[in-house]
Amino acid sequence: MRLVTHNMMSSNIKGVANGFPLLIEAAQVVEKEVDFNADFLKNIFARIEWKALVEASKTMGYSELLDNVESSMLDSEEFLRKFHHALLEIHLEEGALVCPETGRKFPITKGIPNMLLHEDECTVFVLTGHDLYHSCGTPGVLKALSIAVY
Amino acid sequence: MPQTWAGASTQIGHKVPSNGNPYDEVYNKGSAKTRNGRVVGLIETKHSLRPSKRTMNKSKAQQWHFRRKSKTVGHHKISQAKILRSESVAPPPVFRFCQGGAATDFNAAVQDPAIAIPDYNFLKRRNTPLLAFGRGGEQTHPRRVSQVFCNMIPKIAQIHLVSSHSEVYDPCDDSFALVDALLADRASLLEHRPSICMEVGCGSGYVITSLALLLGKEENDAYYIATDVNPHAVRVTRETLEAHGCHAELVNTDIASGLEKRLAGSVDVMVVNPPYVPTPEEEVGCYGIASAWAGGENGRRVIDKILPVADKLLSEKGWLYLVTLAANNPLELCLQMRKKGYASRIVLQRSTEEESLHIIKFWRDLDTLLEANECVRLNKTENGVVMESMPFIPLSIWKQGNRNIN
Repeated sequence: MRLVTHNMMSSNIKGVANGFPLLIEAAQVVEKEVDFNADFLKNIFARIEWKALVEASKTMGYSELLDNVESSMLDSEEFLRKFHHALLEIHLEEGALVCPETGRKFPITKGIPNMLLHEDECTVFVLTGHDLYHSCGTPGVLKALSIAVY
Repeated sequence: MPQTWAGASTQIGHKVPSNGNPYDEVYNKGSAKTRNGRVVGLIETKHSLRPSKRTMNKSKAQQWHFRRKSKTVGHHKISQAKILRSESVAPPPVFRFCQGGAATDFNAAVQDPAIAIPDYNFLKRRNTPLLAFGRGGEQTHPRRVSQVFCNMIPKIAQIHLVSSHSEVYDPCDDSFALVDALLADRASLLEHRPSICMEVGCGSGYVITSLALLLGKEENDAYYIATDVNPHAVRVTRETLEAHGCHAELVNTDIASGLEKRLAGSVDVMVVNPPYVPTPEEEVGCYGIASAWAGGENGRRVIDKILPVADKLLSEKGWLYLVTLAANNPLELCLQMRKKGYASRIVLQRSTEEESLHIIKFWRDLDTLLEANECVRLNKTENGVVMESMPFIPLSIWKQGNRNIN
């Protein structure tokens, strides 16, 4: 799992107000070389939460990223290289992602994070009109709390 | 003129003789005849033809899957395949599916691939010799044709490199149809320059790998992400991607749970091959391979779960490719999405013996959104009189100069 993905993930547990960013417990970190593409980095820069990326890369053992950035720094090749390395070349093979509020761990095995929730952690899913579909949870309680999605 | 089939998978099927056990002829003789004895036939494995006690006790979805798996022409599925030909046989059609629905002149197609869209997967999988006709009706040399084809065919995932697992859905007609639809739309996709592409329900990884390969790396390096609720599927997808030299982010999650907040309004291309088989409700969401096809009532349970998530994730210029069956009521799906401001188009339609697949493409369209808002506003002022304002025509495709014409 690369840090670009970590930057896109948040805790999906029911009742969590702000599940981003997930804390990282790194058991095995691997560095794999990836082709450098400046355009891709410039495109994705807008979507990246920089602070989360810096903290995550420090946890993984890479502390070259600066804390404060501006978009003008995107013109600098050196900055782009560091950005590229942190975002795309550091892989978390084994470890866990931790929800910042509940402390629940989402394991990562062979680089694949498992975000599947247990029954008691799910949120309600409601379909249009009169159709109610419960992904999990007790029907009685959830019917009372149902919120229309459409 | 070469004859085109609406659903050339019917060649796998068989013409049922009028007397005796309908399966004997095929089962015993080991060949399948098609109509008028003119067309090539394939040998099926016996499982696919004779309903046995093994299949009888299984649920409807499992029977469907069992029959379907045996018919797939994959590297490990069919034990024996023979192509029968007689003197008077017309060469097998090169084009299974064409824009506009008619077979076109091959020479014209070579110059402009947009005219006719051969079913590349079908041709490569079936080992059909690529024969074609020139303008005057004469046969062109097969080798030249196949060479031209090889140069024309953009890269997609190769079936022999796709990993498999007993609990993971192998690429089948629906996967191939989806990839063919993406191939058909390749020019528009490249022009679209998506920065984030996502697949929900990656299964074996065939579709996401094909998408990554056909978009290529040179002009367009996108961020690919694929999710699946089945952990084996995510692992198999990773192996498939590695075998093809591609990379995509993989997350084992339910649809896009955990990614929705951060990826909201960011995904440019989303491809979904959902569990669409109509099954009993209790089969939906079961652990294991059944989750790959079990779709509940009308096969719509999981699709209806996915569409709101797609609506949230798709960007302003986002496109969604969805595989549906005729049984899923695709028209109603399109109308539902229309209310949320999505124009839609059936980009590919394929009929096999067992199912009629529709690959639908959705995209956000301002005019559709305005019409939808207008309808809502008029509904409110008319005291609940329902206004079906117009017949279902995706208006955007008729507009000139609209960039969203696809």
